[in-house]
Amino acid sequence: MNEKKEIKRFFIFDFRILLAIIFLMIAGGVAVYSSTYSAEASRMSWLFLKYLFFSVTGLVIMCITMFINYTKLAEHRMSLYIPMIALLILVLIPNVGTTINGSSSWLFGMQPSEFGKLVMIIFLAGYLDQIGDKIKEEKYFALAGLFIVIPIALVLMQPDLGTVLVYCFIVFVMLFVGGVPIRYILALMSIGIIGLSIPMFLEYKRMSDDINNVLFNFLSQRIYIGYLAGVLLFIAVLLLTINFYMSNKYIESVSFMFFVLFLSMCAALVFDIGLKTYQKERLLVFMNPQLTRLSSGYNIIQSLIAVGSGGLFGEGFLNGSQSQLNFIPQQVNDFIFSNICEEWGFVGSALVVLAYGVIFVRGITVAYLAKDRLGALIVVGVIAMFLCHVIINIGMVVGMMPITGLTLPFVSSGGSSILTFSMSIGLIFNVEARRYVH
Amino acid sequence: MDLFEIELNKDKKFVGEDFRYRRKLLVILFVSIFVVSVLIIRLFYLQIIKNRYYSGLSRNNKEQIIPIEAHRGEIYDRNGVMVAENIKVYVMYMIPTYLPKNYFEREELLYRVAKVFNIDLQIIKSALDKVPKNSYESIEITDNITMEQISYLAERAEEFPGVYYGSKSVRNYPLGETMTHILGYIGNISQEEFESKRIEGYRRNSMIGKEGVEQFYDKELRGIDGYVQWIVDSRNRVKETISPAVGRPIPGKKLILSIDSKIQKDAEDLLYGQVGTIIVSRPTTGEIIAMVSAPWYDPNIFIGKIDREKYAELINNPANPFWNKAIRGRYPPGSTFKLISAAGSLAEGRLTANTTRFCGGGMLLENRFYRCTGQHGYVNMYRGIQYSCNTYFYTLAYELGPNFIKKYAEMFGFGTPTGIDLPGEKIGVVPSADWKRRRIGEYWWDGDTLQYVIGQGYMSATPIAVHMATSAIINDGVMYRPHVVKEIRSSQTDEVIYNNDKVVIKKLDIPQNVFTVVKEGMRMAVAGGTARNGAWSPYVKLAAKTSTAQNAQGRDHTWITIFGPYNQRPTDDMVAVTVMLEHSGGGGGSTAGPIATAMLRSILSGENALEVRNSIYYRMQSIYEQLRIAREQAAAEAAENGENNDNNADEDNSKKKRNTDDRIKYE
Repeated sequence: MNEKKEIKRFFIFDFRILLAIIFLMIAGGVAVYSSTYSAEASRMSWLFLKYLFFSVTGLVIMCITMFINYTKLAEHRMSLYIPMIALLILVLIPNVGTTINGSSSWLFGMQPSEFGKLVMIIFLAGYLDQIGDKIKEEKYFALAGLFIVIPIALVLMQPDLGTVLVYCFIVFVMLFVGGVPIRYILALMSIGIIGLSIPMFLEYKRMSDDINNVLFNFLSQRIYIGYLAGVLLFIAVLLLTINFYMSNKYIESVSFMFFVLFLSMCAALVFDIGLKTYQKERLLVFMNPQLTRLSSGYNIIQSLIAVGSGGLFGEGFLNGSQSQLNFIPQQVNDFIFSNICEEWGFVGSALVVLAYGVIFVRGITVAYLAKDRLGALIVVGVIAMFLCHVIINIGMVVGMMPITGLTLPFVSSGGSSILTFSMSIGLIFNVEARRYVH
Repeated sequence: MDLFEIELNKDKKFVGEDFRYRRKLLVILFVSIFVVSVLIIRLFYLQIIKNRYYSGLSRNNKEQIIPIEAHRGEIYDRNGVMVAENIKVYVMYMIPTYLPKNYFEREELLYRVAKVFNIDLQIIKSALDKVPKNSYESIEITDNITMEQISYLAERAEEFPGVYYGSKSVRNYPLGETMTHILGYIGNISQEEFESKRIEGYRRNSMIGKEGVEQFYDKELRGIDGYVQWIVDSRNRVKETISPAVGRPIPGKKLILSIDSKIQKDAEDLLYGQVGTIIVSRPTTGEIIAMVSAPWYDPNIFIGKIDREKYAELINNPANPFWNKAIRGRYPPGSTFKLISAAGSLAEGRLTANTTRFCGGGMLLENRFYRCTGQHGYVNMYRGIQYSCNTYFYTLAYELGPNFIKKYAEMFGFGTPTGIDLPGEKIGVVPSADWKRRRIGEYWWDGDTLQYVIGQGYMSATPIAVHMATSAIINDGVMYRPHVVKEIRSSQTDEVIYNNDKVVIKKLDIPQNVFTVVKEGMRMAVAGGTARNGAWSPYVKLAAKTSTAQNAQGRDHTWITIFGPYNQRPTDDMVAVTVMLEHSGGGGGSTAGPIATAMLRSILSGENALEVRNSIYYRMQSIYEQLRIAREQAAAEAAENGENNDNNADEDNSKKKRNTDDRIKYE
């Protein structure tokens, strides 16, 4: 293998993904320009210039990322992981991290949790690739869990619920592809779901003033949840002891189930104490947008109006009344897609969604054709990240998902977000370019 | 080029191909394809299928129609004196979002505003609490702010962030308490009014006339509201105006009242301190020149913030100042009703003006004695009206029966609204055998007929109805619609749109000579009958009918209905006055009479009304004094004369005594 041939290979990357990204960047530029446009100020807005700067920087960083061998990256994953944890801790220190909208996730204008996703992908891919089939053993799984839980907990403390969701989604997909037994994944999911749904239920009952309820009265006492957790743990231990003598497969799985329930109750307690009321409300509004017409529900309704009034071809560039008259909140970041929907109609918005579809399909193809498991896991992690962002952001705009402050890849004007996604696309190209190299 | 060195997986445990994960990649592929298609289907649903719905919502969001209140028409009296106007007042308002965000600064500012501008802090806070703290709406704090305070605020604008001043137009009644019941007042539309009138273009925050002319002519006065259509942004800031010229407001029409504010003021001065009503009108056109219902109130208390203390004082007054007694009070008309009985019985043709009956002080019927005001001897129709002889009318009624009374009472407008252009007119009761059976559940007695014919018993009428009946007699049977608004004029061109004068309601089918008889009787009452002292008028010939109506609630109501200058045929300079005093006691001639006469004399010969009334009182007092002295002298003489002239003296004495007593009581 000579070097020239190697360098040539780097340019055999998937041009379809690149086209999709450039299309998304153009769409994002147009949308950011439109949503920051105002007839009074003739100059281009600072946000739009920032967006242009970060897009170009992102393309450059993408090229740079292409040339760093992903195997090397995975090898040195610990030297990526530890600074990430350090940064995530640094953000939480009051006067160091900047607090915007109630979550202190900014450090010098950047969000470490965004880059943390990438580090998480590389770290988990490297770890899963290294231990291979041993992940099926509890010890290694627990170790993986520990490494995963630390950054998630740190992000949750910011608190940034959307990013936590992304982390969880990435982790689940990678564990799934990485060969973790389905029951562990199901257990983790049920811990998350049960743990979240109990505080949600309580908050919903509180908001709708329906508190003369047996279930509510029981669950609203935190000590009772603790008792319940204790009972479940007791049953689990009892069954395990029985299993020690009888060694029955079913008893073992039932014991595992009770243990999972115990963990769910603990998670419920943690969420109930840890989540703030507005975060619970945000999740609840997803279930019923009319619940709080003027706070969180207002956003969903205004966004739906913007999307729905677009029609087939949209109202035209700079003509969308919902976005030009500022009915849509946060339209440069979280609700940028509603601007596209309103001004470019079904054609424009469907093209954007299709561009993401191209990235998904081509990305999974790259993972399929990757030369090794490490590359495949990295690409799958990246795709999972994209998928999660797209589902939550667009789902939020079209009223199918709760409101979480997640950006739309390459379209929203967040600097850290664009850089992170550029790097991740760089990783996909990285894996793809090296697929014939052995 | 170590960076580009491709290393083999040295640390890889599973050398060789372990591609089991590829199967799981397919799951991810399907999931992402599923997600993309779900999103596209959702977009299709929202943007294509539900497009119309959301476009409508979007339009609702950005377009806002702001009404522009039309200029409410002014009201003038017949001499061109403005009695209801719109004045500009200065208001202070706050825009919550521009107030300091900091809690302490905000509280400090509000406290300072309260102190400097002398406003209750609680009022400011409760006004601000109605809207969110970041609202762009302007919240009115007070409209009671002086020019000095405005200039103080203007000089120190930076010390009061979020506090602004402006002006707005409010209704003002410059004459204050004069003609309150006629003008009424305006106020915010109530829920019921809004529901029934929204079709006429009223809005939820419209002002609407609540009483009097303001209510009755609300449609003319309010004009047509204009509107601007704005495009607003999410914070209700106006971005552009779509159609500034579409709905320019059309100002309301202006009203010229037939009321003369000077006469009205005189009438109020005359009635001050009493409970009752006075109606002054020109019978030949139907214009009402003055109409007072005492006690009254100041309509300005309803403009802006209502003064609770004053309002409570008014509402707790047993005489009910809010009630326009002239059109809403129902009283037994008493002897004034005899005019109708007389006209009716003559019109029936069963008897003539010279039909004579004997009055011996009353009439005995069914074991009960129906008293007369005195012993009038042989009485014909003229003298019956002159002395208000009950016995004469008892006999007529007994002969003619109750149905003819009902027929003519209804003909003269009792029991139906007179059609005056004021809201809330009530109608009196015109009883009949049928009515009594239904309402009371008893049969009609002959005694009821006797009460009926002199306007007592179940009979009741509003003062305006009595007044219009008198006017009909003055007009020889032509009834004009009574009105307080003479003309409706366009406020831009000042041309007369509508004139209320001489609107004939009906012409009574009664021969002219009947009215001549009745009017002569009324003239004789002033010249030498029941009203000879109370309606003393040396220069102008007047004609009147007094009444003292007994009632179960308290002392007698006293009435007089009087007109002048006297003429057997209607002339254009005639003025008719009806005065009713509630529970005043005394006689119609001596209590209501001087008031009505003073009113008439001040209109007809330009005298000072109060002076005239006082002079009549003084004259009456001196007459009574003389009579008392004469009586005492006569009594002393009789005592001196001894037994000889016993019979004569007794007769004389008793006659004089009776006369004076009756005069005081029944005139």
